[in-house]
Amino acid sequence: MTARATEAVGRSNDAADGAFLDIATNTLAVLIVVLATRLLSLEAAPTDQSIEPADSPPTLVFPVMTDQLFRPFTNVYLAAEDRIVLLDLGPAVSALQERGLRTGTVPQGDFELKVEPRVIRDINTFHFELTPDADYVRTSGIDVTPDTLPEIVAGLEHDFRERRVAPTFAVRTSGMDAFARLYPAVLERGIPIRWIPFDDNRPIAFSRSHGNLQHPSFYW
Amino acid sequence: MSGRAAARAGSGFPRLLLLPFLDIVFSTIGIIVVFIAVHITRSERPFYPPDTDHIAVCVEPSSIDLYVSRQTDPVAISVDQITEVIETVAAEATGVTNMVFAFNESCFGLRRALHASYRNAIRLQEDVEAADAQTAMPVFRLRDWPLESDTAAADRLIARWRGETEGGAP
Repeated sequence: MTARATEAVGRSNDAADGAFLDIATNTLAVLIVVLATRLLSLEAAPTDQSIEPADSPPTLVFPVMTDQLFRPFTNVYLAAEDRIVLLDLGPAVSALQERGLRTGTVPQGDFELKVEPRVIRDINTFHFELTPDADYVRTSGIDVTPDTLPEIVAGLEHDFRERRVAPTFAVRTSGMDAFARLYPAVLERGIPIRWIPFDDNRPIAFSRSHGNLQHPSFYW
Repeated sequence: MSGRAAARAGSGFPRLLLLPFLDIVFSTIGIIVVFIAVHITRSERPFYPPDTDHIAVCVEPSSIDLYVSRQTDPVAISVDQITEVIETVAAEATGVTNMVFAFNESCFGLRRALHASYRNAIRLQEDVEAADAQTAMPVFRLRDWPLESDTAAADRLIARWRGETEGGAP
C-alpha cells in the first residue's frame, strides 16, 4: 500500500513537473506572440496610404494633411480687396429660413439659392451663390501685414487646435497678394488649409451634388 | 495511517527539475533581448513630411514653367501642351508624386485648364490601374500655391525649394 502510494505520489510529482513545464512553455509562447505583434505594428506611419515619407527633411513641404482619419470642420474666409474676412453665412441662412426667399441681400452681399427641382437622388442637391459686397470686405476685413500676420495665424491656429476648425479660403484676384503672404505662415504652423481661386466676375459658390460623393476632388 | 499521511505530506511538494526550467528562463530572456534590439533599431527611423517633386510656375496667362526636378532648368509649356504634359507626368508617376502649381492672380484661367487636365489624367490612370490589381496604384497629387504679384515671388519659391535660401524646411 505504501509502495503504491509512493508510486502514485511520484507519478503525480512527474505530472506536476510536466504540467509546470507546460505552463512555462505556454507563457513563453504567449510572450513571443505578443512581442511579435507589437513589433509588426511599430511603424509610426500616418493612416493615409498616400503619404510616403521623404528620405530627408524636405525643403518645401508638400501641403497635404497627414491625419486624414477625422477631417476638420471648416470656416470659410474670403480674400479680396487686399483683405481677409470671415464669410459668415448666418445672415443669409436666416433670411432664407425666415422669409422663405431664394434670393436676397445681406451685409455680406447678394445671395441666391438654387435647389434641384426634381429629387432624383437621396441627397439634397443645391447651389448657393454669394456675390460679396466690396464695401463690406473693405470695412470688415483685415489686411495681411507683418503686424497683423501673427495675430491672424494665431487665431487660425487656435480654431484648429481647440475646435478642429480649419480655414477654407475663397480667393479673388484682388485678394491674391494678401493671401499669398498668409499661406506660407499658416502652413508653417501645421494648420490644414485649402483655397479656391474665384474669378472676379463669378460669385462665391457653395454646392452639394451627388458628384461630390462619387468624385471627391478637393481634399485637405 | 499517520505514517502514510506523513509520507504523502512530505512528498506532496513537486520536485522542481531545475534544468529545463532554467533552459526556458534563459531562452525567454534571449528572445526578449532580440526583440528589444530590433525594436530600438526600427523605431529610430525618422518620419519626415512629404516632399514636393515637381513645381509648375505660372506668372503670366499664356505659359507655364515646369520644373521637373530641383536640378533641371524649367521647361516652358504653352496652354495647348498642358494636357499632354500632365498625362505624361501622371503616366510616369511611381509611388507618390507631388506637384505644386504656383501661380499669381493673372493665371486663374490657366489654373482651370491645368486642373481639368489633371482630373482627366487621374481618371485615366484609375481606369488603367483597375485592370491590374497586383501593382500598387501610383499617387499623383496636385496642389495650388499662391504667389504674390511681384516678379521675384516665383524665384523666391524656387530658391527655397532648391534649398538655396537659409532656413530651408518650414
